[in-house]
Amino acid sequence: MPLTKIEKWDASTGATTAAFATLHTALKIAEKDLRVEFRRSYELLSVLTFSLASILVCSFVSGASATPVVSAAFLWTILFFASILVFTTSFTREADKGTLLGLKTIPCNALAILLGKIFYGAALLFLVEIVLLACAVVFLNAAFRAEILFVFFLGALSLASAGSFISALVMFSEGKTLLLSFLLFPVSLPVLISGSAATAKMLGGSTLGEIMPAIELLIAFLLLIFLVMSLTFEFVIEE
Amino acid sequence: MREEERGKEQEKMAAAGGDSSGRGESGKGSERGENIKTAVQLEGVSKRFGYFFALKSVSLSVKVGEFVALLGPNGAGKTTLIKIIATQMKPTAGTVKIFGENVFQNSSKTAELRREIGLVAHESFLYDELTVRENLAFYAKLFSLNKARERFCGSYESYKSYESCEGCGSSWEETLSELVEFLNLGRWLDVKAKHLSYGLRKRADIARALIHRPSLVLLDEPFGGLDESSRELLAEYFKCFKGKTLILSSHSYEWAKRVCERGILLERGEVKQEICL
Repeated sequence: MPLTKIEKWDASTGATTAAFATLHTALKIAEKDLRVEFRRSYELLSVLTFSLASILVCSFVSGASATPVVSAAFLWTILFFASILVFTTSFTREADKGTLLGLKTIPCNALAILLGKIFYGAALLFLVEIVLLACAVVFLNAAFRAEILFVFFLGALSLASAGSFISALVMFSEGKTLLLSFLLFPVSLPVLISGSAATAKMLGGSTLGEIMPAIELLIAFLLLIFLVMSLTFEFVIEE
Repeated sequence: MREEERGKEQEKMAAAGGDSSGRGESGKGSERGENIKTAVQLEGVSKRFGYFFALKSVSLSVKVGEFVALLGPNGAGKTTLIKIIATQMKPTAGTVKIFGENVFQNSSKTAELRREIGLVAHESFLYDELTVRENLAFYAKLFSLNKARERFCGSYESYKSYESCEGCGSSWEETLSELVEFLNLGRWLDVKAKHLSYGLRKRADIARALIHRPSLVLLDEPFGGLDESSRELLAEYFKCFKGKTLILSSHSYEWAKRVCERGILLERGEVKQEICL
């Protein structure tokens, strides 16, 4: 009996190909989102302006004598509020304009859409972090070390995971902006605690080995949220 | 003369993916012809939103290559039915089979079935900030057009080859240029979607839905909000989809009749009548 086209396809694909297809789709979605973001530049500019203004205010308060602990607290507080600004529009814009339905027509796992949003969010947050770090070096007299970028990268990825997932959770509800800010704080607490602690130690001169517990906590958070997302996202995206 | 022109147009559409017997899809067409006769089969499909039943035990069947119109007033359940067939919405009860495959039973198979479906919904799926070309390229790449074609050529080797399928026919750029020519979108290819008029946006959306050469085309109110000439134009396009299965929803009996052979009248979420158009 001849096989149908779909049976043939199933026979030729494996889990690796499916994972690769999910990653490929996620990267394409992230690329599209970044392109749209840079063309709408006013949203990105508002996040950067907020970050710059906040760090300037912090430098007025603490002067050039900010301790590493204070500088880290400033950086992560600003980053948290910047992430609220980024994730308020992440899924909501797609849902409001109807393009989310277009993404749902893609022949891929629903998780690919979320991963795309995470990559996009992480890229934007990382950009904000770099600007913040540069400002911290100039205005707060913080000591720059290349290893800190690794902590920031993990922090951006973790915050983006939590933020994108919550953004998807609240996208169909009323008062989504308020809900996002309320939910993001408790969910991202492990990221904020470990990220700020690691940053403070790094700014104080600790090595990467000395901040390993904080890095491990960030990685554990990433794994946990990825597990939750992969189990629930298919239901979250249902209207 | 008019017939000759239409013949040429149909040939062009076949090359652009309108006809399953066209280049690059011959395997697909014949294979399906031998194995699957029914494109869409719904049995006892219901959809409930809270206490409101949008669909009540709908059963219908659409053969491969058939053009069917879902008719009925606002709130009859046409859009819900289209969304369920497009695998965008799970029914509360009942089974949905697309090309013989039970949809929603296995999520990876459901995702794979989406390769066969082209949906034009009420909302435009185009991104305002991207140009028409960028929008079409985005969707084409997401559908990994050449990868889909590889299956029919039996040369699946690596995922990476999705961007160039040697010996498997045209690339997605070629499909794009054929569709753009057919839908007369050439002048607007590099214009941002937000600057397009409603009619042009609809045409770009149709190109977007056809870019991956789907076998099942779903059109939700394609004539809504368009002027007479645009409707005429679209009706002519749709007639050229011979070989594909087409399901469209419409309030207008007259316009549905222009395109479809059979009509299914929905009323308050139930199939009231089947009409030969």
